[in-house]
Amino acid sequence: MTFSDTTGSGYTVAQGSGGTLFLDNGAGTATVSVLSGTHTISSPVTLNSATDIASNGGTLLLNTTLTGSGALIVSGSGMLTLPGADTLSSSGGVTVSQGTLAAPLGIPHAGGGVTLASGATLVAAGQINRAVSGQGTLTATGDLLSAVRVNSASSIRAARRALAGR
Amino acid sequence: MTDVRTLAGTPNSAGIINGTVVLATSGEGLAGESPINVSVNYSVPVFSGSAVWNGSTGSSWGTAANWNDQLTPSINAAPGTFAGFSDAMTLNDSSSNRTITLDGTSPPSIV
Repeated sequence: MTFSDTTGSGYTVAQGSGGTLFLDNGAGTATVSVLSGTHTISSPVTLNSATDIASNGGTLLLNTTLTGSGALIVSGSGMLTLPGADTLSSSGGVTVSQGTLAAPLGIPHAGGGVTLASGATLVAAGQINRAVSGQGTLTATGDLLSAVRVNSASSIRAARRALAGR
Repeated sequence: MTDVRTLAGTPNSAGIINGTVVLATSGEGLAGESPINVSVNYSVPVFSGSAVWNGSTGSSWGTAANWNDQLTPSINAAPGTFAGFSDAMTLNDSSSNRTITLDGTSPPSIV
């Protein structure tokens, strides 16, 4: 699934009268590639397989709820924002392999852990109810309800912290 | 006289597949008359599995005419609506903001 628009316009995938967008590549990885422009997905989205959202120059707004059991992979040099507390409601793990994953209202839904690759960043202002690990950087100002083991350069100002690592 | 025949088979490539089948008569006509062979041309559009949006704003995902096959633009097909197949889709340059509505269509396999 590729979003690309250099004209200054953008696309919105909306639900309309009903329906769900299923991202499913079987045992493979589905890919949402954002090359340019600002685009929005507001229809319900179910991750049936691992899904890689790659932001490389464009912006994708996920004004929706991600459900399903597929893993979420965040790649590309840009930023992917989870705008709502319920945006990430899928149960699979999350890997930020590159760029930044922003969660201004946190990740309160329990599920697979968040892995931050070296150079990747998770910025969260709300509660995080998933384990966070890896060589990347965590900037958190909300409650951390699960184990955290991340780069020592991380900035963690949590009211509650389950476990702080290195 | 008119009749309907079914042409069955599995295409092994995408695009417009053109061909000809020959319908032969037998046991008909006058005594001593040779069988009459009739050539019938067919043209089958085969979707590549990769579609590009061409619809205007507010149009439905499931309307085939809103999509062009990425390889053969003259073929219209809505990606993700064919059971058992995983399709790709591209939303690229448009002159204005576009909203695509699912409107009851639940694409099962978008990759």
